[in-house]
Amino acid sequence: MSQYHNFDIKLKLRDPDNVVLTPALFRNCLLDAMESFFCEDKPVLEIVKFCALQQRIIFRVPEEFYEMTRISIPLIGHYQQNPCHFEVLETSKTMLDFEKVGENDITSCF
Amino acid sequence: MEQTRPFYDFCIPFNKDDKVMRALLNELVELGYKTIAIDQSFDHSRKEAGKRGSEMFPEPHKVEHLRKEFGDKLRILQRITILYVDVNVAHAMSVSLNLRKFNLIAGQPKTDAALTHCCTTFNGDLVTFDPAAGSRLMVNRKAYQVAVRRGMFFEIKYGPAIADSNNRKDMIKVAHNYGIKGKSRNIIFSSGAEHQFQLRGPYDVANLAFIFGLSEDQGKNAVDRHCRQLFLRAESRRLGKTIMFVKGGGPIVFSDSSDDNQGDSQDDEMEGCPKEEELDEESDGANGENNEEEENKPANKRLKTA
Repeated sequence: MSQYHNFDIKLKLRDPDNVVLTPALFRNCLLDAMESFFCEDKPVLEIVKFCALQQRIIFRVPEEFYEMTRISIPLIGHYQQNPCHFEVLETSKTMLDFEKVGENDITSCF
Repeated sequence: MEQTRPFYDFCIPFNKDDKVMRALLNELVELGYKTIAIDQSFDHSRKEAGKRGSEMFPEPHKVEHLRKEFGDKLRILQRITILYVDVNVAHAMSVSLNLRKFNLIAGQPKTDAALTHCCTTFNGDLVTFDPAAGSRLMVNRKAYQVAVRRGMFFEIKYGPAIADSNNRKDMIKVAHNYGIKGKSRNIIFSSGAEHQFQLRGPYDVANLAFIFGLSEDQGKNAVDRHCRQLFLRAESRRLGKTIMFVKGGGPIVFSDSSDDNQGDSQDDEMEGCPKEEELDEESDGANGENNEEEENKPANKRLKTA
């Protein structure tokens, strides 16, 4: 049985051109939101897949932090002072993957 | 029967800019909402003195072009939120014709007295509160129970909670007060979103139930079933006495012998009850007190009336 919970997230940004989207910045944004909301220690958050082109991220957190993470995500309203919306596409205990994308897109995702 | 489809968002503030409105509605469609209400506020405490007694509520904004544009994708209702401080609003509401043009009427009390009035006698459907004013007003237990009995609903807006952390704290405080005073009954979630980035999907919103002190079921109902109930209540208030047509699913059997059928149905009703003769025989052996007791049993009462 997996001890992790996987999240598939899509970002919607007001000005995507003016924002640098990197795994580290996304991770910080999420952890800061969780810390400010629950005032608890930051959980271990591992980014499994990241695609700047599709603005999608798959990450996983330990199972005990699932609810905390699930609640925090809808409450995030800004990414680098830019209004945004973190849409939860899917959550699962099993591994998640991006839907099949074009070959060009695949090269830009890891 | 008025048809509506889940999910619901009953607070989309009206924006004069059609571009913003369209962006909001497109996002709502994308997120899976099917029934929404465009909200316009009216501050009754700032009314003009000369208008007292006459029609003081505004007409609903024209949204026909949006209705046409979104057609079957989105059902667009109209809602008015009345901000008020005293009970004079009740008279103004009773004589207003414009109010009937709105699908939903929400009350936003500004004082404790107004909040109690809103729960107990306000002729609307929804009790909401101003997120900017903070958690100054707290509903008391009795008023909450009366409101629930009257079929009124309490609204929690999540949009301001996303925009500002102070609003979020107040919102949680108010929501927990609903939980303490009335077990979070009759609660609906709505967005109150100023722009499309303050909107969240219905499942995300249902998940917010955990921080607002609602159970999982209450959270789901707050974006679905309770909203439907609220809509039906509002329609019944708006239309007054109505005629209901019940469509039968099976074949319709016509019969001339209505008397016979009635007799049959009575017999069917009495299947579970002992016959009168049997009862008499039984009662012969028993004392008078038992007789009285048996007569007062509901089944025997039914026999007597029959």
